[in-house]
Amino acid sequence: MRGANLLFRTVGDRELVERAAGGDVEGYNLLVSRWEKKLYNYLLRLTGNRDDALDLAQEAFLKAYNNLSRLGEADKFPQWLFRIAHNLACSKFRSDGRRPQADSESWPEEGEDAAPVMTGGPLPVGSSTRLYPLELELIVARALEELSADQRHAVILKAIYGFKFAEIAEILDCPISTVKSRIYAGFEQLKRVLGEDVAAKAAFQK
Amino acid sequence: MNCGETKQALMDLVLDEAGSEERQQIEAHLAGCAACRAELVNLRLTRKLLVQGLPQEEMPQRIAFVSGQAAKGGLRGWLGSRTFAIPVAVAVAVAVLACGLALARARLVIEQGHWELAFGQAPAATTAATKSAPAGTSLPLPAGLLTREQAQQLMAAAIRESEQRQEAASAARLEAALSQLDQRQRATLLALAGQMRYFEATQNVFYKEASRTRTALELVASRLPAEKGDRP
Repeated sequence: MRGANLLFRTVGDRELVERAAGGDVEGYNLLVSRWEKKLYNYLLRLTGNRDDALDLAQEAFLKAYNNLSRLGEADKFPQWLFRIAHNLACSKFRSDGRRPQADSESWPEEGEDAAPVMTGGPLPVGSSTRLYPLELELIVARALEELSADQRHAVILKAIYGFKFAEIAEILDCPISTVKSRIYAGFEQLKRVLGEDVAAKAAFQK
Repeated sequence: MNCGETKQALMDLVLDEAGSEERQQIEAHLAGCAACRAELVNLRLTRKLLVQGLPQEEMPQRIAFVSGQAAKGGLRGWLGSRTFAIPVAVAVAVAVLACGLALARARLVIEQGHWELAFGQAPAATTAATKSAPAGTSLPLPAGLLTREQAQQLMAAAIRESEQRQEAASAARLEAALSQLDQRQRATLLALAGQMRYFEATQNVFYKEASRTRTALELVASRLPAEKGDRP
């Protein structure tokens, strides 16, 4: 009886942004549910701390809502949101007098896959190499630590979240050329380090 | 396009920044260059490793906002609000009265200008009538004095209309309350499921710590050639 009144319809970010800008809180909640996990994980990479990441994510969404009228184009919501979050994270670390990577020794890359112990079979990452998810996480975490913070942020925004160069330039508030050079250099270095690590792993397992 | 130019183009390709024109040029070059094909494989593998090595973690709790000014919704809020409390109370009282009378098979019988309440089976000539129609009924009233039949018809029509209205209203209210309950339950279950996933994930931190130590040791061991033969 109740189900008969439901219709399936897709809504885009643009429509939700417009609804939220008109004061529709539920519309904004839909937008939040769409982006919260990505934003939280990005902030987790920046801060290395779950509490901080959650606080900053909430703060960023609230700030974004209160300033929605200043967002010129609804399509730019994602990079605008990430920019707010990025700036909040940076100013938080400035006021705390520590740098985001300062507590990197205390397990910075805390991305837990859902229960690798129970589900984790080897990942087929290359023709001759098999890595367990956890080992891969450790290798990737160490490789990322070798990049500069600027390179790391740009590379993560690109490779994980799929933002365009121009969007990353907006998030990090720097020229596109800077973004490109950070990503090219960072990605090149990752390729080398990961290649070595994976090769070392493969040699070790033979 | 030579290999030097292709190097950056390959990175663009892997990072989804290559336009269709650039893509065609790359493909043309790749067809005749094994070194660049190998480089492309390496770049793709790098991105794949990066994505798999940085899994997205569940949030410890979901983020949601409520409006500071909108009336808190739901049946309770609606009944509790001042605007509706009195009409609703009146409607409920009328409905209860109507139901009670109907259950007792009571009738208001008009006999030669006198009203009386009667119980039990109605005589064939008189028709049931329980109460006056609430304000807002839209029945046309003929001018002048009413005959008994006219009065009975009018009252029966008013009762039918009123009953239909009330049935519809209570059905709508019931439905609203049910759907709200359903949503709340669903939200609770979702929150619970999220927390379970999060809990499950955090358990693995311990495993990770142990495994990190093991990996570090293994890497050290792998650099000592003398021990290599003893490894399984």
